[in-house]
Amino acid sequence: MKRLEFLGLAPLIIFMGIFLGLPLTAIVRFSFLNSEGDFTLQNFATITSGIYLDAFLLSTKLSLASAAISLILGFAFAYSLVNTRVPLVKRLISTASGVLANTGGVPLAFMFIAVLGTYGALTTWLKNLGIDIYGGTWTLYSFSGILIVYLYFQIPLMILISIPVLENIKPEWRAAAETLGSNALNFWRKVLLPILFPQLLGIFLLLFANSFAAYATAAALTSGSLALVPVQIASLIGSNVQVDGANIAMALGMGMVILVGITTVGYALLEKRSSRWRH
Amino acid sequence: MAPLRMISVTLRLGTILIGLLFFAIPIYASSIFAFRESDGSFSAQPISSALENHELVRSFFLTMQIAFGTVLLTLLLLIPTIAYLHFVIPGARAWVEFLTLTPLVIPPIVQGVGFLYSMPTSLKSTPHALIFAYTVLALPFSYRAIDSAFSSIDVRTLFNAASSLGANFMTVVSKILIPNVAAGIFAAIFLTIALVLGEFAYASLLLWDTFPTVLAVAGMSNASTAVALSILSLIGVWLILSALSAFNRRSRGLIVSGV
Repeated sequence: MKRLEFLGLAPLIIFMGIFLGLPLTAIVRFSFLNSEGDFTLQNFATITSGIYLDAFLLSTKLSLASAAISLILGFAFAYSLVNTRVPLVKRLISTASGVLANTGGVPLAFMFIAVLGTYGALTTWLKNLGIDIYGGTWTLYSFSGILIVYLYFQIPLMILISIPVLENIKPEWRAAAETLGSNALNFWRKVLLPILFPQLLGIFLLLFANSFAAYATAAALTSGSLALVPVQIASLIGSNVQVDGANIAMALGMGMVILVGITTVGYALLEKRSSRWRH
Repeated sequence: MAPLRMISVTLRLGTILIGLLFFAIPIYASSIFAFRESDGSFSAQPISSALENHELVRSFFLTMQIAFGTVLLTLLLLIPTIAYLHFVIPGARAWVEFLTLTPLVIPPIVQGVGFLYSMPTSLKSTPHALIFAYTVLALPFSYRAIDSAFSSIDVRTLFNAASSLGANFMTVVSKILIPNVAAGIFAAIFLTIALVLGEFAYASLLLWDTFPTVLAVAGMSNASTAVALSILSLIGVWLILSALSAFNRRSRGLIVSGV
């Protein structure tokens, strides 16, 4: 009888089995094959050297930088937002963050070409003020350029995640600390940050994973010239130049799943650990 | 203590101001780029040239169809499943929630490659097959939105109360259950739409002309049209979200990302 009850879950599980399970199985299987269909470990040797290793390093660097910056800036902004008494601003910002974090992608890339591209509006203004941002080697399509654009979906994501976290800070904590003679600085250092630390670390991992998996912005902005891992996967699938190209793409995909998987599990564990403070 | 308070309030307002500028500057600057003529006057030329671009218009309607299909499939799949979970086997909830989070671990580009190499040709020959793919992509967010709405009410008690007053099952579902979880359903609908309107990895891998992929191509040839459409699409989604959040304040906490 107990077993039969689980039949009600069949539609969801069958659906996920077909449209998530089968693609994932294909990725795992093809990553261990060459284009002739023979078993090989060569794909994994290929992706851990040369341009593919560079792609992993570049993706990691971009994701670490964007996660760290958006963690700090997003947290500061969300903190001010939660403590403000203007609900309209709060609603405005949280909905705008929802849009940027979810729909960002291609539109963000074009907006930034219009803002900071060679003929962008901000570029022109700054030039009129005597600051030529294209005077040196900097371009929007370089590492730091794309980092700026990534911040525009990473910071909104950070704001969205940290608002509920910050709303859970109990005023009693501060009151208790103040009764015991603590000033604001000490309260932050000795009470709030230790409580929030596991959660912030977890959020950092989530931001890292989100940036690592992102593809649309990089694709639309650089047309594939900045060799991040997702960009490499797409170009391997799109062209037939590389021997065993599709299989190498699958191996890269496996690498991404493992990296994003580890960070997401880390997030879930840290989130669980810190949930005991929220009652 | 007073001067310290002052500093903290000033800091807070300053941060909010900087944050608002952070959002406003790119939107303002790109609007100038898209809509200002070289002589300094403003024109809606980029919009009208976008409307004349049949490919762009077609891709918009295709994306709308896919969004509608994805929302429909998501609701058909999730509402009965989640209702069943809460009614019959609440013990399995944690397990199913974990299962629905798995798409987060597999980046869309990787799912897309897997889809390409595992699905039958019949599914790969119609853009509407993206409905299945996008339902999976949206699952972590749509599931959590609906599930937390169900968690916030006592499904069993409501069901028993209504039944004892003579309501049949369908009446309970349509008159009691749906209105009580409407907020969560709306959040799920919004999240799904936002995701479909922005999804790029799957569609570009499978070479389908959805709005984001056509927009990306249009951007190569006509920058001001692409910029104008980018701004409009972000503002459009933002207006829908604002309307939804005004409709229900509780949905705000449910918005999580998946770029």
